[in-house]
Amino acid sequence: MNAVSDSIAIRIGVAAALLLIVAIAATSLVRMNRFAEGARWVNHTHEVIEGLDTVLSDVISAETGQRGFLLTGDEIFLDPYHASRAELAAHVARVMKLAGDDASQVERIGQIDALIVRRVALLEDGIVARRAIPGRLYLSEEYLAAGRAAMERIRAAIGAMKAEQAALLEERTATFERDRFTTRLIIVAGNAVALVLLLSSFAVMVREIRQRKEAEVRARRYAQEVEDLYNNAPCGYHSLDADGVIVQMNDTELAWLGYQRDEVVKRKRLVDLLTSESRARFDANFVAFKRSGVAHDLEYELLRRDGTTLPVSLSATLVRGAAGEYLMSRSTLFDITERRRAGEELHRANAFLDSVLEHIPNMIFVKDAQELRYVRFNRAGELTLGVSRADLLGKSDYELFAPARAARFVEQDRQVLTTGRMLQVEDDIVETQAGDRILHTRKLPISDESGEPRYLLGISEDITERRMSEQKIAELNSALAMRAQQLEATNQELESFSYSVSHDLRSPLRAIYGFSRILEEDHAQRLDDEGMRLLCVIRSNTQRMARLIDDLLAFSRLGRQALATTEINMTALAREAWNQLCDGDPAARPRLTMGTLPAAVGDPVVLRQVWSNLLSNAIKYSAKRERAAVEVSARAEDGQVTYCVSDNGVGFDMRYSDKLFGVFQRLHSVDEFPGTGVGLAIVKRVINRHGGRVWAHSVLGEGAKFYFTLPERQPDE
Amino acid sequence: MNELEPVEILLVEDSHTDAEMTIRALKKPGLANRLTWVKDGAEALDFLFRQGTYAGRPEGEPKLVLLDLKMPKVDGIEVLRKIKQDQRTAHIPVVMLTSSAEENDMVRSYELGVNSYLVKPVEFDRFVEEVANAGCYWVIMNHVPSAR
Repeated sequence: MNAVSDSIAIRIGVAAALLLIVAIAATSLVRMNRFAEGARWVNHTHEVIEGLDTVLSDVISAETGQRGFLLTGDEIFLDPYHASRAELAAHVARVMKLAGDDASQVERIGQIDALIVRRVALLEDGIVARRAIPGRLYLSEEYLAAGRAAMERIRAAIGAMKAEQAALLEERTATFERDRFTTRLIIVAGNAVALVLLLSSFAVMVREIRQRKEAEVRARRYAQEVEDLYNNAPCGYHSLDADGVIVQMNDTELAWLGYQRDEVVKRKRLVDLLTSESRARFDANFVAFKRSGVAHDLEYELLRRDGTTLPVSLSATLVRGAAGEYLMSRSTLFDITERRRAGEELHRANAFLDSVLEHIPNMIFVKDAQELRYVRFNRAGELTLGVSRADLLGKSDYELFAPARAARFVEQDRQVLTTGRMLQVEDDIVETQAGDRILHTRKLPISDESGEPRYLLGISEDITERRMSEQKIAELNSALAMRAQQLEATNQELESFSYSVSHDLRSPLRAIYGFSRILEEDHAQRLDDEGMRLLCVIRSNTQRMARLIDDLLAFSRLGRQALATTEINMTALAREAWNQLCDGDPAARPRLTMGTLPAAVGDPVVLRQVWSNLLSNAIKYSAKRERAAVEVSARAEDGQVTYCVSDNGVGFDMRYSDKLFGVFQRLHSVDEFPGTGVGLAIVKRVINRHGGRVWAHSVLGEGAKFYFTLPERQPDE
Repeated sequence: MNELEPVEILLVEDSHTDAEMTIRALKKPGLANRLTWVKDGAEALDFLFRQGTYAGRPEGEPKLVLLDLKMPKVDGIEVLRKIKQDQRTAHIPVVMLTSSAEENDMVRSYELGVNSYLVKPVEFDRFVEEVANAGCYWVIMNHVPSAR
């Protein structure tokens, strides 16, 4: 049941109970009156009866006294007679008075009074009679009968009246009893009903009180929740009065500031909690706020108790009174440290991008999609076009280029913006303030989130220099190709020359040799010793010529063959060459000192020849030493290995060292040391073809050192 | 030279001195009697395929062709190719007898199916020995299927 119907029920219940009680009281009052009345009547009846008895007693007393007198004649007996006669009237009057307005009683009493008066008259007659006849008792029969009859009548009248009164009393007593019962019933029943009503009302009231208490608890809890929400919201709340004094502030904002509530509320103005820079802005904003009633996203710096600052965004609404007067502000504050940091980061990122843009060596420009005016331009662009940024930004192509050129640019831009596709313009010769430039330009649209093109981005590479150098390179290339062709032809000629040498020079040598032998065989008997010796000279020279030709061919072949390079175990290769050279007589071998040599990269077939040539030289030129010694060493450095073959032989004069590696160049006679003078030329050619160097050191008579270098690793492809 | 006997060795050599030395070398084992010497590749082909001046030469193929490499008109490589390409002559052993020790020449000769490759030594004694050995081997010891 709800509170309204509850309170109505209570009211009705209590009212009914009260009415009932009032009714019972009224009834009781009425009944009490009636009881009193009844009691009075009973009393009255008793008084009437008593009065009648008194009257009767008076009559009897008067009769008794008179009788005594009559009997004795003694006057003394008349005293009670007189006393009763004297009281009789009063007693009758009293009964008469008791009868009141009751006409029938008054009549009855009148009759009784009349009877008494007659009786008393009779008595008086007797007395008079007695007195009249002193000393004799005179009592006539008549008189006595009359007296008796009168007395009988009085007794009857009084008895009747008493009987009437007794009946009346009985009736009244019965009524009284009845009344008492109903009154008790009314009081008991009425009070019971009133009690029930009151109890019900009380029960309802108790329930209502409980409900009210519960509602109060709920309301209190709600209020607490709201307060908690206010205090612990993730944003700051405060309210200012018209003077800017803080009248409320939530815990969150207090925590931000580092103050207790009682240090701030009604003690400080908001400006006291702002940095000086924010203060000025706040004052102006507050004036406007009081007028407009709203403030939105205003940024301030809060000054914390510890002196540090906190950037916040403040929004507020105004609470007005009934008359529209300023009551207080209701402000919400957000901590925007993070937002500001993000903003700064964005700014930094933008600055970084700007810097990147600025340092990109290609011209970069951005035009707005609507009017195609320049909005962004970089330094490379300034250099390319010969136009400063200030002169270019905000302008369209028509303000910067010749009309035909500008129209072409605009047409390209529109095409890019409509199709949404990148456009490449290659080898575009643009007439600029900086002269004609050959540009390679890419244009592309920059669209917003909805896909609508907003900007046109252009990237132009100035390829003027490149094109010019390309042209130069092309010219050089064709010259080079021509040279290569010439070289190719020369090589072919050389090829056929060496082929001819091998063939055509050897053939006559063979003939000279062969026929000198035939001469010896067929005509020996006709030749003397000198003739035979001359034939020998012819033959040995022919042999030498043949060797020269072979070496020359080998040398020429080395220049033509392609190198098959691989990583080579140089220790093994050198050792192999050495062993082959000293195949013949182990005793004749010089002492060889050789450690492990670093590997190198090259063609093992031709490098074997290098080792062979150098080692054979070392053996040859140290052969005349008693303790011939050959040493092979190497060291790797900076990606190349330097190998060294040294001997303790005759050495050579450093003055002629430049001639050492020439073809057919010899520093010793054939008689001293045999040889064709091609070995070192071959060494030089092979090493040079590997990209290495060859050189030699010597002190005449003390030995020689021959060095050559090779790459340690394959050159990167 | 006995005209009726079939030729055993065909010497193709443009150098007179080399030819003379070769013939002298073959004389010792008695192989020079049935030898025909032609002086260039063209003549060698005429002989082998019975054309030109050799159109009427008697039946029978040589047992050995000694072929120089570098010759005027048609060189030895060309002669070799023709011999080995033609069924009639492909079985005839061909020995290159040349001054060239070039790798290139050897490779090409073997590609075309040469039977042997000899480099003429400058020293006469070695020359005589090698030529005589080759002649003995191919003419006397070697067997070829009879001519079809």
